[in-house]
Amino acid sequence: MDKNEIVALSIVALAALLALRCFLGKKSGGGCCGSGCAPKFEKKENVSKPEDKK
Amino acid sequence: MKNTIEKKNKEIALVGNPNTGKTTIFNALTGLHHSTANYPGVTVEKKTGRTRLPGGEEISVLDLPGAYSLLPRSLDEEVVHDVLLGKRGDTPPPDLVLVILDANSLVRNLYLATQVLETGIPVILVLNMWDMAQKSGTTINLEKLSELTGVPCVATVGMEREGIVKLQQTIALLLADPVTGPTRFSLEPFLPDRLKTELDKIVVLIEGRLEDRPKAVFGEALRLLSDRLFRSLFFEGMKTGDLLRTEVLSVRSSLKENGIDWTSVEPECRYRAIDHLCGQVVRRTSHKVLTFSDRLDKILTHRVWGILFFIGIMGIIFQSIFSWAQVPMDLLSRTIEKLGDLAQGWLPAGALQSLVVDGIIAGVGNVIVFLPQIFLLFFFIALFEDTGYMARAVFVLDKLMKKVGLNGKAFLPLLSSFACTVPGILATRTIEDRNDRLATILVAPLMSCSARLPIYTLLIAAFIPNLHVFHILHLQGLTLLGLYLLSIGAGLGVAALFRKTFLKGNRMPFVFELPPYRIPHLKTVFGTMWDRAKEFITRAGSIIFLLSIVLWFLVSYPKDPAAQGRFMAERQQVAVTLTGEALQERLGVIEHEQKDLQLRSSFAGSLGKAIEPAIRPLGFNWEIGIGIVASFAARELLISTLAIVHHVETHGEGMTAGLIQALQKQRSPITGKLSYTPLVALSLMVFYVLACQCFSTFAIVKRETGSWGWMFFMIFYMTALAWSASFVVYQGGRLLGFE
Repeated sequence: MDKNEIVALSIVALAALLALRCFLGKKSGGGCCGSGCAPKFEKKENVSKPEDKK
Repeated sequence: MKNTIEKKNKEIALVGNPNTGKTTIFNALTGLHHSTANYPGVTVEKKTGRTRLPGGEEISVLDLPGAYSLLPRSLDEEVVHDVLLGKRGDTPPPDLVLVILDANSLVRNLYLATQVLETGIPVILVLNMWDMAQKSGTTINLEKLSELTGVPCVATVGMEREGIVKLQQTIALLLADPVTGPTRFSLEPFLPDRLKTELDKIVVLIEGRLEDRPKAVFGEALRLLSDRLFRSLFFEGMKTGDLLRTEVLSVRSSLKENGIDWTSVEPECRYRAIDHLCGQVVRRTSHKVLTFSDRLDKILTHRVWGILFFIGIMGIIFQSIFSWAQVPMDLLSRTIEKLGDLAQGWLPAGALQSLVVDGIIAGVGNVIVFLPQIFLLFFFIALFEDTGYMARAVFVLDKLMKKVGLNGKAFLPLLSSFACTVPGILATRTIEDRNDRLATILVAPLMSCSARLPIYTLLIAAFIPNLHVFHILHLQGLTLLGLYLLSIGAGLGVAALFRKTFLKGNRMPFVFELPPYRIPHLKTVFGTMWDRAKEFITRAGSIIFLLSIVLWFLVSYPKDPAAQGRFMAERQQVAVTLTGEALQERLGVIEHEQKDLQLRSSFAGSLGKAIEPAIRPLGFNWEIGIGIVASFAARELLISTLAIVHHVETHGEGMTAGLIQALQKQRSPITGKLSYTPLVALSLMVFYVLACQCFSTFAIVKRETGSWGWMFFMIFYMTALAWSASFVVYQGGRLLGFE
């Protein structure tokens, strides 16, 4: 196994781990990574400045 | 009953009927960009953000789902009721409530508003869509309304951010000095004396349970009386013989004996009080005339023209997906191909180069190419939502939904499922009846989600000729329309079957408000389109990227050193015996044979061959089998798989064109016949329309039904349906003489 192949297989191992995390992770479980799949009461916060037309 | 969560900031909550612009006001206050649409039911969960008041104070803002009443009938209405009454362990009761009212329908909107007034929480009445009320000739005396209700009233036009500063100033004033006395609105003068006397019996029993909210006691007692299904948390965990429950039942029968219908007494009295209130503050300066919306509705909601218009508009969308998206798709395809060439030149030959070029770029690139089509589809959907047409589509299709036994409220979850099944299933929370909701959840995955679109368009482009039908329609566009109609037809058919067999139940009445038509706000349309297309890009950049790498490994390993040595020796031999073009041609054949052998002996190859006997009757080879298994992680991976297993080579015509050519030329090494024919493509498309191959959907069905049983049932029935339909298509096609 040459160096080139070791690097490639390391990337594969990392990708497999991250994919598993995506499916089994608590935050984005089930392989759903979009905002539509957010857990029930996940908070998305932002601070705005008061602006108005009037 | 008491809420124990401590608050860091002051918190305000937005409540109101569906489609009054709550989310628009929420976005205007917080600067967030939650999706909005010109139809009811967009918010099914609470959302939080923050806003800074003119004095500099930062407060939390909570956007609650739309509700018509504080008497909860569905899960989303339950959220509103429980948050306002402080009955949720995870959310403290708000310090202030903004009740968002549609100024055009004040009477209906005040029903919920007056119930909120009775909770005793400080309230601001926000009369939104003020401009449209004025245009329709309705004048509302804000000062008088404020005087009669005893709470501040602010007029806003959420879309234009008009009145938002005034609203923020009013919030600041009220939070600094909350109204502590009872609001001036009172339902009591409109209640029959007998009801008041009986209600006191319930009040006495619940006073102790609402120590922290003494002002809410009266309203809650009234709701307990009307709570036909005993959904109120007061009843939770109580035995049938509990004193309160017994008392409520006794009050109900006493009222019945006295000729008072306890189920309708609250709405009747409340509407009398609201009519009295509105009589003093609302003035119509013009007679009711037929508006533009009314005139348009005569055609678009007509029982014949309405359906024809709906089918026509869908046809145009699918035609345009093919014709308009072609140029940007070609551009993307060529760019990705160039990226592959660059990577090939930059990386040394070997496993890493193969991983990047054959795995990542081929896998992700072939999916991302379909982005323009996804953008177009969502652009049209967002456009219809914002103009108000989508609500008409609900109205037109409601009759059909009723016939199959689905509630009209099922339309929106099913519509959302065309983007992604997960939010679609979440949206079923608006459906009150359990069996109705369950039937909708079980058929939602049959709606063709955006992940299926690239598969359809790739196979259609490869195997359906680009012929004209009636000079103006394209056969390819019509095929795509047919697939979507098949998905809708299958969904409705299955729903009808379920509702007539094991999910029988009462049909709940469906009241749906048709919002006025309006010129679409391009910012909203593009914002909504971007939000949904972003999901597709996120998937391509995350799960599809990761799994393309894993897939590359599965098709490239284990290696067979003996076979590699044999092919190497063969190469060396032909290099001695042949020269020029003949040598290149022979080397190409050897490479193809080596890749083919590698794929067959790979992990993925073994898996594909293991399931081949089950899919062979559908016309699918073992390479498709690998794609079908990979599709459980993400359906788009079928394309990535085909691109990886067929070692797509491009010659400047773009990545997708290369894949299409590879599919068209692929032959079975055993029979020598073409592996992919129009019949196989049709069978495969039908399989993808009907099969449930999405882990995310499994997870959300398990969560929302709370049962493994329903999840496995859904997987089983959809797989059986998909297999049977593909079998009929393929074997039927062969009987008719197609290959």
